[in-house]
Amino acid sequence: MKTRIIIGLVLISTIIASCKKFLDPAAPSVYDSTYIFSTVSDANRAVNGVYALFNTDAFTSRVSNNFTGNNDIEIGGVGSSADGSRRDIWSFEATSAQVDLLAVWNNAYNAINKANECIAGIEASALYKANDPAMLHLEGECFTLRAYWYYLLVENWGDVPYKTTPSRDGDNFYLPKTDRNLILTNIINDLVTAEPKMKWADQLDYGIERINREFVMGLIARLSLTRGGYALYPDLTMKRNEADYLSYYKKANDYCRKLMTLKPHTLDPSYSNVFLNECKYIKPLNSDVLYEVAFGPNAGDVAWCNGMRVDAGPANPYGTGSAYLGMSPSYYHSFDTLDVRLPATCSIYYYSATLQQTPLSATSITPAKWNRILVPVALGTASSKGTGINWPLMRYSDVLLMLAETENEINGSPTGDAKNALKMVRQRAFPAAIWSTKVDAYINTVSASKQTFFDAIVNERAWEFGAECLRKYDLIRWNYYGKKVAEARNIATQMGIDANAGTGTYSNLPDVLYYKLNGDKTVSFLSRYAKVQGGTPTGWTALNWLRSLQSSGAPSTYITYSWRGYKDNSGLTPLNYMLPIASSIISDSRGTLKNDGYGFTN
Amino acid sequence: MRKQLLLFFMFLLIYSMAWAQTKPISGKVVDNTGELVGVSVTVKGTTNGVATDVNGNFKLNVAPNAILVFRFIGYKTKEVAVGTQTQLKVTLESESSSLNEIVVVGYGTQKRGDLSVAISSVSGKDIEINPITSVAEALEGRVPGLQVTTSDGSPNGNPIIRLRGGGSVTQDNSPLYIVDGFPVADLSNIAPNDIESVDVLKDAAATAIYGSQGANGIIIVTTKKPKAGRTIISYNGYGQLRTFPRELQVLSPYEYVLAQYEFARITSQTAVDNFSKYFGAYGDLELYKNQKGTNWQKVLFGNTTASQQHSLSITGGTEKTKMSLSASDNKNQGLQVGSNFERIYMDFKLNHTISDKLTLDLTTRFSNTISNGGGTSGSATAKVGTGITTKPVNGLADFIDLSGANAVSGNDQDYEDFISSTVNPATLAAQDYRNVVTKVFTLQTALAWKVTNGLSYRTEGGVDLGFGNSKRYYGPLTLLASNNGGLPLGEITIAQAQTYRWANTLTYKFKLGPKNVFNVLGGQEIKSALASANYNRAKGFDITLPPAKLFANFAAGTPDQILSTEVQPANMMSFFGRVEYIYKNKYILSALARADGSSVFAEGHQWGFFPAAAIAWKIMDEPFMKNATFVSQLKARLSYGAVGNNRIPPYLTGPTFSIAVNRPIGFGDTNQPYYTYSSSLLPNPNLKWETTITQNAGLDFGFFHDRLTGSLDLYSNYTKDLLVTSNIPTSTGFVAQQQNIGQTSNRGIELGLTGAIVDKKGFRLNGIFNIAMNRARVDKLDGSATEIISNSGWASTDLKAIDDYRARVGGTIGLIYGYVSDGFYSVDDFSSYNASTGRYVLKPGVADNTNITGGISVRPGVAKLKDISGPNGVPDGVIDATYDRQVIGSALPKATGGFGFNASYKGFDLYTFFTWSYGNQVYNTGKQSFNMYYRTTWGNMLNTSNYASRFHYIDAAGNQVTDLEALRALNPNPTIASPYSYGNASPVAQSLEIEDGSFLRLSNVTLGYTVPLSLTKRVGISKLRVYGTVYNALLFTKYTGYDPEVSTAPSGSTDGYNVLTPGVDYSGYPKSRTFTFGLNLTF
Repeated sequence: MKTRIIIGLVLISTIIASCKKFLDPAAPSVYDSTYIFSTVSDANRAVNGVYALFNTDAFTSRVSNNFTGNNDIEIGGVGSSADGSRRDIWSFEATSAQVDLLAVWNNAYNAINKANECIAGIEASALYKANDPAMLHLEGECFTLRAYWYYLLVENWGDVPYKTTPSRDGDNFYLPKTDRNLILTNIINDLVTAEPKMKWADQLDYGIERINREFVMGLIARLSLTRGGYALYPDLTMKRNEADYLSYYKKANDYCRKLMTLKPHTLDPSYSNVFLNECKYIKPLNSDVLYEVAFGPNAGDVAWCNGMRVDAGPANPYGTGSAYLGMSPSYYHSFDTLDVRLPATCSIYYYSATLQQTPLSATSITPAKWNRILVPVALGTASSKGTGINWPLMRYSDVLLMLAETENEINGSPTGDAKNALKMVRQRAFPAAIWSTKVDAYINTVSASKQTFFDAIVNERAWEFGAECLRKYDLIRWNYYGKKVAEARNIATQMGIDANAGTGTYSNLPDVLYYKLNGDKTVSFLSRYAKVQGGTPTGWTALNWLRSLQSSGAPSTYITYSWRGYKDNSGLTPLNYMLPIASSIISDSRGTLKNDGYGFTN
Repeated sequence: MRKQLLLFFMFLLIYSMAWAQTKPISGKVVDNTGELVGVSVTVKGTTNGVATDVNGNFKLNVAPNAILVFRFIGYKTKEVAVGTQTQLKVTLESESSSLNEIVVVGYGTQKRGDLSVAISSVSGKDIEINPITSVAEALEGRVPGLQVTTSDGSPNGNPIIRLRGGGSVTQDNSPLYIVDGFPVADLSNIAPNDIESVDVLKDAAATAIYGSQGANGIIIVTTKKPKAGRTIISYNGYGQLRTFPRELQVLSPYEYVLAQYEFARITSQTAVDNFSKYFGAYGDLELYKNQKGTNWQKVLFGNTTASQQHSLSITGGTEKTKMSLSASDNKNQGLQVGSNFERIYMDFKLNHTISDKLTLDLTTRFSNTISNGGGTSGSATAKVGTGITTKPVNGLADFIDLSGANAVSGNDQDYEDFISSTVNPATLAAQDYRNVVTKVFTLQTALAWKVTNGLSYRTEGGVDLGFGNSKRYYGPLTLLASNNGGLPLGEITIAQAQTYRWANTLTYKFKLGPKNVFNVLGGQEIKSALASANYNRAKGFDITLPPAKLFANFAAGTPDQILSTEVQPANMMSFFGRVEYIYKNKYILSALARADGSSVFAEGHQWGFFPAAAIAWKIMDEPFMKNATFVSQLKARLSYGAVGNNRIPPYLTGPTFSIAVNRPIGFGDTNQPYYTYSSSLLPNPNLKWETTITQNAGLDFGFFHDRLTGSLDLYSNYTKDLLVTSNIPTSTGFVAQQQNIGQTSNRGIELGLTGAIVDKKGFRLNGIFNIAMNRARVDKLDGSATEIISNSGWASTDLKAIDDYRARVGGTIGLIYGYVSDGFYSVDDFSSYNASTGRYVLKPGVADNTNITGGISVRPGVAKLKDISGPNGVPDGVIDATYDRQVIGSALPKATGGFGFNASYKGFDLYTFFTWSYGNQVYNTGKQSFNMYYRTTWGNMLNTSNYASRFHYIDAAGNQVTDLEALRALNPNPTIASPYSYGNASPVAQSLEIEDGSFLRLSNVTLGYTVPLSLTKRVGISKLRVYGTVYNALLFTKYTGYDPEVSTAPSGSTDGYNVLTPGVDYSGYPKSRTFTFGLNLTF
């Protein structure tokens, strides 16, 4: 009898157990977090998932460049009036109905949540608890990715929701805005903690294509300068926290110095080579680029929307480069004509469908840094996006110039280290033969005061990083955005007037360009930087240059449209660079988020 | 001895008497129209029997006291005592009384007369009469409360089927489909010719036996059973022509160039120069009046295409072993260039009686579907819009290389549109080659055991195996190819799906005394569904390689992406029971319950319990009804029950991770696979069953000897713990989470009538009519939420503003939300024109909405949106998404239905069927996107925007008019805003797109002729019918788009329909008009 009961009980429990199993079937294609973070290679793949969010339109053609214009050097084409498209972002007229705002916001938080997921998974893993160096580095990468996306959010929207744990059911989804300074402070602290546990690029499998210790140091400096710099507040004033701002300059200074001491890099002696390497998929270690976003085959928009213009045609195996980001004529003419960075940064010609170099107008100067024609294997006649060219997020010269800037700010005047750092950057920009005037004498002159040195840094960063889409963020933290935009507009207007009048400050600059299309498909210009007196020389073709900045006696539409949302020509009022929160985010927030302040009406 | 002799003689006598009394008998079996062929004639109590021949005659030897039993499907069984007769004429009565109809109720059958629940049925005979290509088509308009919408006029489009509005607001509201007892994913694998009957279970008391998944009703399809007796061969076939029913009027070549000129003229001199380069100087444009231009709608969809279907079936066997085999082949040529599909069905059935107590049923079914062409919905490259927007003339561009320096230097998003606008759309369609082969193999067996009288046991098992092979080619002009060096890509997806099912039921029928009849059912069922897929993509193929060759030589490309997945099995375990009690054959009570355990939920939430009960009262059988002779049947029903819904994808309770390759990071110039969440929705471990409670009250009636029969049903359903994909703030990293929230309800009334209007002297006229009204309501949502916000996505991220649908608490779902169109700015809205800036100055208080519409700057004639409100609750002079949008339309119909007439006279039969919908609004997106240059360069527009109709800015000389008063004079009575009001990528969700979607469609008209039997029987044919049908014959509607029945898929949608955003005209593949000629043949 007892045996029967036992057999019966065993039978029943077996059935119940198998029922339970039946309703909880194995899922061969999915894994849980514990499994994924139990090995380095799987954890790597999880972190790849955070990186992968750089390979989205929201990053490649939006926040990494479209969102950073227009400023005094980088200009995206704007139409006759606000049209609800992303061009409105360039002209400071975006409304909450603009959908790119939604795409970038969503992509940022997607990346942040995945980074949070990885951080939680890594910290719970046995390997991490055993201080496995690979795991420690992976965690550092996630901290950095999270910090970078928060940085982009804060720079474009100010105060935003802040979350550092992976989202789970039961969390409060309706997060209010967190003070941007708190977010910046926290992400800086995260990186400060993570940095010593990370590996140098030369210790990593993919070098500068992975986030590495030297980039993190540089990013700490950049974030600190952002935290210590100015920002626009809802009452439309530009402010910085005067009480603690200098401590963040010191922190930036510390980390620039730490990098230069622990892992000094050598700038590539050739400035243009830095970008040539990117076009050719070469990634030198311990050189200029600290970290660049790795775009694989047929990914990325570099040299599609940012780079040389190339027109499609049957005889062109390289495809189309649309170059929708342009460089302003005032920027072009701000360079010392002997500065090697000028031709490497600005192109005044494009490649026609037959690959003939063809002149561009003064209002459509394109970035020269990236050129799809140079990619190792021709991208194909019908190719467009997806060039595979990497996108640099920080270069060593940035660290040098941040050191120079912070030295000047902290000490109230340019120190020897400050001058030296500036020198390293400028020396590369000029042939050694003219260093005495262009580097030494120049630095001496600009070192006259804290202000003159600071203004030199403002200029140097423009020349050094043109088309790299850092300008907007620099101008914000310096509280120079309005000032510089007004300046650019006034200069362009004056250039037009002077070119047409033949007198004035800019009358020595080319009103007209004379060019020749050569048999080898190159283009020659008679004089790029100085006005040619007299009529059109024989054998040359004329093209309106600065003259085109005026039309029928008024500033051209290029001037009146490009910065339309900012009216003040004195540059004194703050420029409203903030973006409204997309309308659907507001509707989904159940009242916790609003477009309050910044003059937004909704 | 004598005694023995006597006995012997007596025996002999009796024997010889008996012998002598076995006599031959012959006869004829007829019905009221003529001879019946194949009627089974047996001697009662014996196996002695024959079937009638082609003349309806039979011969048999019988004893004089024998009773003959005449059995024939569709007729009442008749018994005739032979007696002294030698020649019989037997008239069989057709089983006209619907009360005796056998209705399938789930795990069993019932007589219609004994039903206590709401069930509507369509018989195979109704289906057979028409040349339909799918079961769903057969149901269209025929069942009250059942809405069938052909989602996409493409030949392989899956229809949307919704019963009583569908309660859930999750992605899937389709009913549960049961074919011969086995649940199936859809009805596409069943040949319409094989259908015996379709029963639609509507209320919970009917559906609760299926527990989960019964929430949206159940459609039970019973296929034809093998028949014993003479082997019958029948053939049905038809040929079909499809035509494009409705063309939208576009601008003529002259109007087209004029519009392009005007656009250029008001843009800039550069634009005019550019225009002249392509189309010539303004003065020469008159020449285009002589040009005919290309009608791209015609090129893309205008070809009349031929389709055909052939079905052959054979059935026969003995009473012990019967079999049937049927095969169908349907070749369907779609309207769109290059789209077609072919489907082959095979169905084999065997019924074998093993012993008195044991019977075995075996069914195997196979279908093979090959479909070609990209269609026009979703991610298709060639959209229907291309037929409208493609330029009708090339102007001078024929002589200019468009690809070179003259190309539009657009930005990324514009690029694909640039391609589309400059390439022949037919060429474009070929860029999107798709070939999908689906094979489904089904094996079902059932063993029934009569344990004792009344008690029976049935075990049934089934396997469903599906194999899919899908190929997609991305031609060099597609965006994907252009991102990959401009060379073609190919992708092959091989998918497998398996479903296993095993069910055991025990039925016990017994009586307690003469008045109490019980029918008890108990059962258990388990089900498991598995799926896996392998995906392969290769790139870099030669442009010259035709797609078919490419897929046959995949190694010619470079491997690009490989992905394989094995989906977590969806398992379910169930226990169920039903008790039916009939008292005095007048009062029927049934109670049922089912418990389901589902693996899609996490532990603790897996089990759902769904009880239901119903009562019915056969009023007709009450004594007091005796005198009401005009009433032939009357029954009242009342039911209440709960059913569940667990139709959600796997991995929602997670978090779990899967490997992915889409848009990866490219360390080392190599794409790096990565882990991402298995579901794009934020995991929710607390997910549980969604439950629908249905209350139904019904009345079944028949009058005048059942000349008029019908049912009236009132219902009130509410669905709680709705499984909703809810938007959550994206700061979570997710856009949505599957949640159990809120409650919706549906209240409605359904009426179905069938009437024999005329029935005399060979002329019969029957009518059928049904109507359903449903009111859907959102009762409550989660917490403080007052609405569900959704995007139709018709213009992707271009739409201003993108969230164009609402479902509101206290209101209904399917509310279209947007700006209110206010015509256009009039001259009076402006105070002045500033010639130096080229700007018009608005009067104070008039809002400028060009921040939304984009396009040309504000001026008279620019589309105007209404300033509804502002932050202070009053119009604020600013048009914005927050304060100036409102509900602009409601997509759900007030009533739907169908009606038809069925007439026959002598050999002729005429069948007509109308479907209709009333009170719904359609979001006609084409009215916006085809009256502007939406993402086209040199595109065309609808004729509604012609020079005279639109507000225009150029005079007869081609000069731009800027002065306010001059503009007023130039535009005496414009009817539409300037199409240039809108930026190239700025379509607006606004009220002008909302149109009345009511319609009346003559969906089917058939004329048939049956050749008299006297002629055909000579060649051994027992039935020969020829017919012609026009499907979608006439459409009466005010709707100005292609077709008011709109539900095509936006890109990314899986089932082609989003419950929360109904009624969007995505400009899908238009529904064709078909002309069919066919033949029914039985030997």
